[in-house]
Amino acid sequence: MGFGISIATAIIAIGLILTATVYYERVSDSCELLQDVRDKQHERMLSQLETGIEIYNTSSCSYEDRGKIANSTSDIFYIKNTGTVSINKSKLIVLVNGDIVNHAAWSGWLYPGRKFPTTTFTLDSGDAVKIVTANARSACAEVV
Amino acid sequence: MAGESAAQAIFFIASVIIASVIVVALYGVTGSVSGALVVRNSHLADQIRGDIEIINDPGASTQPGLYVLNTGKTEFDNSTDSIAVLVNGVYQTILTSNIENDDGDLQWEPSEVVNLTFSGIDLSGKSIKVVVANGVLDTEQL
Repeated sequence: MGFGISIATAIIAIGLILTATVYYERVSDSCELLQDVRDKQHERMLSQLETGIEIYNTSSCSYEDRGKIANSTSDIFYIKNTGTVSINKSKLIVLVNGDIVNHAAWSGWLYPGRKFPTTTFTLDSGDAVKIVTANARSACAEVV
Repeated sequence: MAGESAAQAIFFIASVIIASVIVVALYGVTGSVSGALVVRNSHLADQIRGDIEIINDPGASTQPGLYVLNTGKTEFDNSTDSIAVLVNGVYQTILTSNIENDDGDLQWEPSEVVNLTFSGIDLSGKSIKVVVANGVLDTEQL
């Protein structure tokens, strides 16, 4: 009987080792994938924190808030990169009065601390302008 | 003596059979648990990779549509039946779903905006919730 129990114990031990060997790699790969995705999520969140944008044309600025653009015949206002990473100008999304408007002429990179003037849009008093970056950082302004 | 040997043989065979049954059962249960874990992790990874943001301007007097920006690292299905929109908690049927800044492949990829329109509803001042197919969601008060 003692021999039988020893053999049974050996079978169970071998079975457990085989089970662990077969499934360990599968579960381990899956956990690595999850860790990798979480790292990328952190990178994405970091990128959002490093991205900043302002709209202004006089002394009024806005950052994730509603600022003001003085109504003028030139319709000029500036978009400034206040973050620490460059922004692809062609990826900026512009909403005027809640509607997305085309800005096909914008291209190239807006480097940190730099601004560029835009006269692409015809603006009137009361119009609402919102600029959104590709990672959803935004600045809003009202034409007054 | 012969009877004792027979009893030992029976105990031996019984021990081996019981051990084999235990191993098979453990193997099956472990396989089931690890399989579920792998599937769960894969789903979780899909959710973490994906992200959306409603980018409508709450300050605008009108809301011609609902603009949803893909801020994740994976593409989404933008067909009207794979996106759910709740306006003030009430499910809305999406009329059209178009990609505003599509690069030509008709896939809702990262940094692309989908414009969702509805029939006979003004979104101004409403609480909006958008949910895409794998449960990624965003809410916004317009």
